[in-house]
Amino acid sequence: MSAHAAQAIAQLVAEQPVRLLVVDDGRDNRLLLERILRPEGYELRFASDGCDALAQASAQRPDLVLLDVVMPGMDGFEVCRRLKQDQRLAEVPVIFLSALTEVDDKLTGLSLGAVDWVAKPFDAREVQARVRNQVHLRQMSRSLLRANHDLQAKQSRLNEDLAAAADIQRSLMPRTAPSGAEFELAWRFVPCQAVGGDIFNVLPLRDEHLALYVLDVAGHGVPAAMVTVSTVQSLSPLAGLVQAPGSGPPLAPARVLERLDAEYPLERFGKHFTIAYALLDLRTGRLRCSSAAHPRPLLQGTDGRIRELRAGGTIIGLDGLLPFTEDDLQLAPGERLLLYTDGITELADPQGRAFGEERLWAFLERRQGQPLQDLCDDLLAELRTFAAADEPRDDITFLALDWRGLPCPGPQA
Amino acid sequence: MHIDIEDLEDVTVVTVHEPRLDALVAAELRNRLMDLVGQGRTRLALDVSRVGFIDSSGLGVLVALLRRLGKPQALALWGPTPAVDRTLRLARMDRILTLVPDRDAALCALRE
Repeated sequence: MSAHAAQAIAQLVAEQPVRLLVVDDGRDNRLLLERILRPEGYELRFASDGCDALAQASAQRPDLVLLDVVMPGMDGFEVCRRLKQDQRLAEVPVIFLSALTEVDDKLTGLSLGAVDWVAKPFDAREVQARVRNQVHLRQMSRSLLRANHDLQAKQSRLNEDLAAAADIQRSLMPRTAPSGAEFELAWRFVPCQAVGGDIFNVLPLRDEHLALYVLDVAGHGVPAAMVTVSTVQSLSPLAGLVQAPGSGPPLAPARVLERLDAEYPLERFGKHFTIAYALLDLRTGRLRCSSAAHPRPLLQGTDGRIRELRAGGTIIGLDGLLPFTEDDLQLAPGERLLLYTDGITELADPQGRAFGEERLWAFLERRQGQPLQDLCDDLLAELRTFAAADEPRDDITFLALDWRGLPCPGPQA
Repeated sequence: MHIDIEDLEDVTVVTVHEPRLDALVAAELRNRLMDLVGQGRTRLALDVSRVGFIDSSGLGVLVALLRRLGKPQALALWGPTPAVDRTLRLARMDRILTLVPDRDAALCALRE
């Protein structure tokens, strides 16, 4: 809590008069206490026996009770015991006033939950000082309670905002996989907080091209998520970065990364990102791919063997420090492409060992030919088993494509 | 955040004692290093031999530092563990950073 907020709360509390309930069967004592305490600015109420004290306490919820011990009928100890048993009143501090001088009596009083003990006959200044202390403590604990309540309210608003942000982020990702006779797509996205620094997309582009990308902004949470929102916009087909406005084929992946690199210098958001970007020509099966400091996309052949698509460059954000290269290859029917973020390979087990590329490759080799949706489910399950009870420290995203090959040419019209 | 700073005449040697350079420590490390540059240190030799893991946030620290220093020759690193070395190469940072075998080589490279 800021000093300013603390002050504001203290003021609020101070503006309400402090209410004291004085309980004593002796009229002279009540008058005396009134003379002692009135000048301190308290609002005073009086009770002359235990029953009246409980009734008034219940009705007024005083800030402090000054309680005589020896009274006819219900004594002060019993009043205190009952106050402490009442949930609404248990927190009200009680100061005993008594002519009893035995240590045992004092201990009994304090063990019942009283905060202080003042011996009769009173010294006016002592009574004033002890009451003042307790009132001050009470105000502090109240302002803490109030601050705590405010914080909880703020936290719950923040949580609602985060949930809304997560919905927005999810709305930027494709809901249903585009499909065609030539290919099949599937993906999974598991942010480690409500919102994440990973994002992916599948874009149908001109001339029957399909662009796929997986992007990972450094860091997590809201700041990283906001950058992902910006990049999704930049990479949308209408923004002109992945394909020129008007006509013409989509830009080559290396060119796309160059332009991203120019558009997102590190200084712009204080954040850099990595990306794997693939462009598939659905008419021919030509695949071009470039990665900026991103885990390399994996291509699995029909024989099960996996290779990395290594072309690319360094982190997006260095403003042209290194050129981007690209892989350019021909997909064969039955080949499988996997784009993913390092949330998979850096996922740690309880001993801190990373899942690593070897495990990922071995997994893919075991599951070669398995339907894509099953593969995705099984991979998530495998990762969860590996991490055991540990929460992932990074977002997990992967995107897989199976190339079925070109449909057989029908009879020419 | 635990780093050691040793000011030589013309080069500052920074030893990073963090086992992981990830999102948890990146912001603080970045600020500490930026402060060093802000205080007028223009050549930094970075000992990363105690760092067992670096992620993209950690790489971001190196990149930001490089940009703040203005020229790649003003920063030299030595001692990357195999995991860190692999990540640096994957991100092609090995082409931007001056990676050298040891402290002497770092001082040499920076004094060229």
